[in-house]
Amino acid sequence: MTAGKRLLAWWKPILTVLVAAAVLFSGSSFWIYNATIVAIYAIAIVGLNILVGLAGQVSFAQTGFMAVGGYVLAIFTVSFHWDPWLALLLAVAGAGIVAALFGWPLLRLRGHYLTMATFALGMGVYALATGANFMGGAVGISAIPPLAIGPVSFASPVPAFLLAFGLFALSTALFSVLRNSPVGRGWRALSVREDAAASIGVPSLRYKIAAFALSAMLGAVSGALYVNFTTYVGPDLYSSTIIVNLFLMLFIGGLESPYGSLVGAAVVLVIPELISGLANIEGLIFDMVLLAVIILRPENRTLGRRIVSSIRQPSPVIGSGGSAEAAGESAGNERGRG
Amino acid sequence: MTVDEGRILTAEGIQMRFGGVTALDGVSVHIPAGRVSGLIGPNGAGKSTLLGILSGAHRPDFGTVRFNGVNLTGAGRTVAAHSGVIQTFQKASPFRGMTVLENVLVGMTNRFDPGLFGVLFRPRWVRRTERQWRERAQELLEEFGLSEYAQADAASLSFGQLRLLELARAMLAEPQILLLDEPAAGLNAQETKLIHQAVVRVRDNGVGVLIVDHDVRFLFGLCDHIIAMDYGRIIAEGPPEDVERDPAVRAAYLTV
Repeated sequence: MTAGKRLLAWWKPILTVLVAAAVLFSGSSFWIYNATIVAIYAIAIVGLNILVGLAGQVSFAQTGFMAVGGYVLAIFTVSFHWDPWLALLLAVAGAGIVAALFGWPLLRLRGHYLTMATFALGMGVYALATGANFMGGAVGISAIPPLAIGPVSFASPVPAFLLAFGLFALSTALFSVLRNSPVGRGWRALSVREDAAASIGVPSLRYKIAAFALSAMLGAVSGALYVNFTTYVGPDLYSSTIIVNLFLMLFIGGLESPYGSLVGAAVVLVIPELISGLANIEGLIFDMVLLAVIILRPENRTLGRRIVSSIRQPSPVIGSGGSAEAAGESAGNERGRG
Repeated sequence: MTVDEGRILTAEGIQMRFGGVTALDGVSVHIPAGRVSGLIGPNGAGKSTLLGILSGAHRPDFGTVRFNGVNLTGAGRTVAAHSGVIQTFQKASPFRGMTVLENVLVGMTNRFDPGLFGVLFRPRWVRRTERQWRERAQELLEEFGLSEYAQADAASLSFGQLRLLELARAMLAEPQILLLDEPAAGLNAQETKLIHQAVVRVRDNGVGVLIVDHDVRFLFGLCDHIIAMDYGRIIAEGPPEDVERDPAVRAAYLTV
């Protein structure tokens, strides 16, 4: 491989670093603030992409795990006076454990049953947050002590920006390493033909739980970072519109590359800021452009099919025996030639 | 041909009903390693149902499936695969979006679990083991005449190549018993020959094979042992030449 080609293969990370550097050195607080929020959301999208893009399971619970991240950080620092770093670790580990516990029964479900169950999980967390006193109710929790190293607070713009992009870089590395590992190949195989993958030894339930847990942990990292940055957590951060936004980001960024997550998050979060609200004609045009991008992007057919089949798949329920057969058959039928 | 007595996939007294229809009525089969067995029978004889039960995917109403001391009755495909029983599918089932080489590499999961630490940090032993599996996968692609497509998307292969890929994929998972559901259906003569050669090679390596196929000529030319079914029962069993002459078989199937 020539040096030029090698450089070309790295164009996405290089471009990301260049844009991030441009934002940082512009010194504009608007752009630094928004880029930080974008990078924080992108981490949750990379996590969602592990589950949806690699393992082929459509989950609407990601906001729930972002909430676990945000609330654990808030409660353990404010109410129990933990060190924020320790609370962050607990948040991430907790989200992984909660995901594994719920994933064990839920991931036996297929298609729209899985989607509905995960949606219920996400909305359950939202309802809990709204109702529970120790979580601050509808008002939420404010004045959350920031992550800090000595005098450097990671809630202040530049350090927060660097932390968010650093963790985003880590999550993209995680995505790439996983994708090309034996586990990643197992995920991609079972996302296409679960029965065929199982018949050559892929432990599909175990692998799906692993994907769900890893995805949830990245969601919790994202949720905790957001709360750390804005020093506030409340249920409105995890409502059902947010989960729709997450999928919009995933659609726009695509399933192929974790860097797309950054683009998806940027389009959904920043452009509405620039055109100030979606009620006017600019908003309408923005929505139409989004729709065109979503429909015209070839790889979105995979994602679209996955979501459509998750919403209206007739028979298969439980993940063994005849239903696995039927799910496999339908997956086989939809295979396009050429 | 050597029959290893210790490694026989056995199904005893399998009974399976769907609603009022008895698909399998007290079927017992023995699939030894190192032998090619063929399963024939008219449509609806219960062949596919039996294959699904032998592969651990379906639980019969009565009866047991065992291999190597492991009870595989309704244990699921993954458990069966780990114990050495692997099924390929009648319908080509490539993992779309993955290269041909990656498709084959999926099979390594059956024998190699690097664990989360191994996946994330790729220590030397993981890299070395993965390299060995990769070399083995390349060898298999070579054997099945697919090496020039190694980096192509599996969905771009022809129908016949997909069948060969399916077999290569199963072989990487190191089966001891291979269950093939119509591996030669829809193939041309050249491709059928490749499948034939592959099955003989597999058999000579000590793997037991059970083939379900409609092509009687293909089966009788390949198998060491034929099991003939009709209406959910075994009506004849033995060397191909004996089964071919069996009056019950001729009545049920061959003279159609």
